[in-house]
Amino acid sequence: MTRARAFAEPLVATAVALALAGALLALLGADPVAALRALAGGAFGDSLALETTAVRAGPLALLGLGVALSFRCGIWNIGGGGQLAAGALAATAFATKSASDWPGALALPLALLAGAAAGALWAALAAALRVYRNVSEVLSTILLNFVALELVAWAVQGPLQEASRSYPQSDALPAAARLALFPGAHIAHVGLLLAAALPFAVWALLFRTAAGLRLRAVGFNPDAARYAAVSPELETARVLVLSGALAGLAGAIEVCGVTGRLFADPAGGYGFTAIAVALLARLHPLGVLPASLVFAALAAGGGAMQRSAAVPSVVVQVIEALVILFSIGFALPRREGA
Amino acid sequence: MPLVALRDLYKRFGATRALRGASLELEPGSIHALLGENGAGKTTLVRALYGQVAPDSGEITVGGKPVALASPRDALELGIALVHQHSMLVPALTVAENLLLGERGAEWLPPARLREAAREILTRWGVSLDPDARAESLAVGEMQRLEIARALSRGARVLVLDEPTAVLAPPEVAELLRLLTALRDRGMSIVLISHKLEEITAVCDRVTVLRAGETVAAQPLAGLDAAQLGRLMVGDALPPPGRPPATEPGPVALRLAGVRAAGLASVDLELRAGELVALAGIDGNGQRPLEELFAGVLARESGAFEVLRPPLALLSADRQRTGLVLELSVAENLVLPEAARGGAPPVFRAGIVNATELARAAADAIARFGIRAHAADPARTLSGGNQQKVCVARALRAAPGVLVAVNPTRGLDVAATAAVREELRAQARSGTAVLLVSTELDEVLELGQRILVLFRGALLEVPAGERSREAIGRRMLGEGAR
Amino acid sequence: MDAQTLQLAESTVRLATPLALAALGELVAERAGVLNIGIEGMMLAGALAAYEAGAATGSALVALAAALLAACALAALFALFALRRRADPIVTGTAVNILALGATGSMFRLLHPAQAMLSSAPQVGDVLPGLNAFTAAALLLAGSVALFLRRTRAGLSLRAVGERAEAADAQGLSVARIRWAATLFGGACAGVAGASLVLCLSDRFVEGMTNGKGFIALALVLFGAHRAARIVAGALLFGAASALQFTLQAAHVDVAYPLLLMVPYLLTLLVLALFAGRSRAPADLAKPFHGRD
Repeated sequence: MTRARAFAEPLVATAVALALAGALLALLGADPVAALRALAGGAFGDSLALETTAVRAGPLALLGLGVALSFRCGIWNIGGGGQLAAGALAATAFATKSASDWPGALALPLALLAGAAAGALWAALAAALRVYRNVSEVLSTILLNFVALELVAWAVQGPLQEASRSYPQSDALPAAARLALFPGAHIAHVGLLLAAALPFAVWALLFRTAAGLRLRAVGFNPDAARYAAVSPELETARVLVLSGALAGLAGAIEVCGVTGRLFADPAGGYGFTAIAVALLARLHPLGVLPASLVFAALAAGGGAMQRSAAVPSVVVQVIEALVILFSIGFALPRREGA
Repeated sequence: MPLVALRDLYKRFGATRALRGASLELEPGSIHALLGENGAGKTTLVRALYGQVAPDSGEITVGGKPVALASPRDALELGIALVHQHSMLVPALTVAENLLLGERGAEWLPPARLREAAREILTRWGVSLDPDARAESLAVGEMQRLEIARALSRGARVLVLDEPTAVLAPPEVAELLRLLTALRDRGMSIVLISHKLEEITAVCDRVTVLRAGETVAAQPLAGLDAAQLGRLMVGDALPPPGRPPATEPGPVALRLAGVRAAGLASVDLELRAGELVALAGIDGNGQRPLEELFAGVLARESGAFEVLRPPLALLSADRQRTGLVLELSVAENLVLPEAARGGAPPVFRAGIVNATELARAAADAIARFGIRAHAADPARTLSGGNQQKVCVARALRAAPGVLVAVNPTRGLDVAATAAVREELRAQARSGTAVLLVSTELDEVLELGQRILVLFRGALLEVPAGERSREAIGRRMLGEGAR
Repeated sequence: MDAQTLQLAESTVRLATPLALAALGELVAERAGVLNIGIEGMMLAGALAAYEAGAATGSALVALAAALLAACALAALFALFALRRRADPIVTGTAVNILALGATGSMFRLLHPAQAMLSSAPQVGDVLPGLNAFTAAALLLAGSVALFLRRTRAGLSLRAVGERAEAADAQGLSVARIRWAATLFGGACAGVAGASLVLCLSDRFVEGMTNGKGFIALALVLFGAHRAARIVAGALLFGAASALQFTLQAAHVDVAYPLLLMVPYLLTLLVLALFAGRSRAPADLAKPFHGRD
């Protein structure tokens, strides 16, 4: 696989996906050109648009990183959305209920830690089911997504509901637990730095450490790994928990940096989009950065597209799906095969 | 006019040229040997005949007419049947279901009718098996007889057998050759693929020799002896068969006492430093459980298993499935066992890779074992022989006190085979305790100072005075077992 | 049997029906070696197609046909990538689900802007007293699938392909053709299941209305150890759990609504934890088959 091809294929996949989506729109009577223009404007049109794109890229990068890691190890973690929700829930619970018990400087780091831990725990449930009961993580992570969603819904209508008890949302997070904005920015928060730095850390882990070698070996050939005294069970559980932690961290960053409080469905469609991100990045940790920007642009532009061109923003999901299909149908991220 | 003719076939798989002008002509009422060393293209050639491989160029004719074989269905319809090297039965299905698989007939097939039809075929071809037995419960010899019966019941006129004797004990080999002779006398055209020269000279009338994908000889067998065949096969004189190393055994290095596990009835074995002990046996009598025991993958139910001179290194039988991780590089495969334990200096420091040391370790291994590849090449791109050398290099990196090698030369060409066998002897000479587990009787005789036979998960000692193929062969079938 | 229990039983059967339909179709696909986690999306597509066609024409038959078409189109897409291109079936299935979610959502919103009044889809009635047509179909399907797999030549061929495709290929069977057919069949069943959501369980389409039923159907295949009768039993179990959930809601039991909604998914996880390990899936499940070359 030459370098040039490694970059060209994702571009081609995206272009084809956009073209097909445009055809679909035309078929349904909408104007694809106007839609595309609105999309571009919403994503890059002005500094606020750019910030919106960046802010949406943050959680996508972290989630995509988790997905890329797990897919590389042969673990189908489709539970990013649920793990993110768990993280958002934990961060909110900590920040609104216990943060005052801790020194102010610790509030934010602890909230983020709580989020990562909750995401890791949520993924650990699926890992335990896999290791001890031989339950495929494909099903368990998806089912846990639904459970997490309802858990958050219950929390924001129940124990975490805001003081006036009128809306399904939590109290606002205290200022000490909020991520600061970049100087002069409207919504871009410093949590994005974490999102930008972690891919490099994960890259180093995968390709420059014994732990990373073990993970990759297990992903390619669990039998051979086992014979080399590597435990596939242990490694797959570890990677599942690690990707859950990344997702949980993303959830914590969302509430601490973007929304400022917990709403129902904090993950939105992020969980599935992250899969598209990971595949577009060809499961490479560094590729996750540009890939998350692509999908963040689509999401940011989607809102504008809905407002000005009257095209439903769910078309963005169609594009995502097409990108996934073309990424896997005509290129090979990982395993042996065609 | 030959019954079947393959002329000048060429076939590439990616960068590998499997066939470079291979030809084969078959007459009715003959047993035709297709001879060549491992990797020469024999299997590819017959798979082309069976419609499983599409040649890049060349012609295949049946009864004088050119045919295009798009799938095994076409081949079967023309009366061509192939019994593959590895059993092509569906393990989870019964004998009856396997027998009738793919046969045309009435759609409604309740169990009673299925059993009935199966029994008819089994009796007609003299195979006594229970139609309701699951295929996975059969012994390898039984599976082979079943596949042959199936091929015959489909009205095959051409029967190709790919290395059929690899899985049989000497008495079973004799029986198979008798069957083939009988079929030949009834007009069938048989192709016998083998690299065992004695079998070929015993029953075949004609021989076609393949070397590096090309037909280098096609002639009657009369007058050719084993040595000449060997020279045709390799292009040079075959190396003379080696002998077990001459060493004095030292203290006990490995002890198994009454070991019982899934697939192992009761294993007692003592292996001394500097000894080379060979375990013969038909595949399926406990080789795999034994290998898994040494790999630490199989749980022991009872008995003692002590490695008195650690570490124990294992060369597993299936280098592609359990040996190497093909997508990782040569260097990464080399240090994987160290990474499993968290990584030790000099290659790893606190779990982090030291790139210079890794490169050095890989370069050392490549030089010492003559591996024709670069350190960064994915293992998948190496030839079988070089892959095995990487496995050997990896096993020896740990400076093992005990080395267990299971079928270490399977699928390797003559040169690589000789190299691996010599390495095992060298290890014994340098004081390592070496245990060879091999289904290849010649290899066992060439290397084993002491020989034991693995039968139904237990070991039978072969007395020093009975080191003949016949005597060992009888034990492989259970003679003398408790 | 008192009125309330009768109603519970009726609800159980009604809620079990789409699960059984989808699971039985997936059973056939999996026995052929095809793991299709995209049945969730195929169900959803079937539901939308049935709704739009049904509301437009008033004919349940046309609605059903539309559902079959939509679901099979997605199944063909899945087969194109997972079978023909040998792409990973889990990722392909996920992509199909995302596609269906997005496409049905887009189409629904474009066809029904804002809060315009939604017309009803024609409802399908009973074929025998108390036995809805879809339920009858599910029972018929269960029987046919069992007979097909165990007592026909085609069923034997299909099972062989799922257990060891290369052996089936060596005997002259066309692995590709059998797997395509099995995939389309599974998709069709999912489509019918989706149609039942708008033609029987309710009378209109809501975005994302399948809500994980496709995944529950996948779990049912495991729970049923890849056997038709046990799958039907499992579907009834889930139907009962859902029916109970609705009864509790209606009775204003003091449990928070979201917690009740969790029940089907938690039950599925429990069932998987208890039974997934025991199920023996076809040996070649989800393994791409490399035919010639």
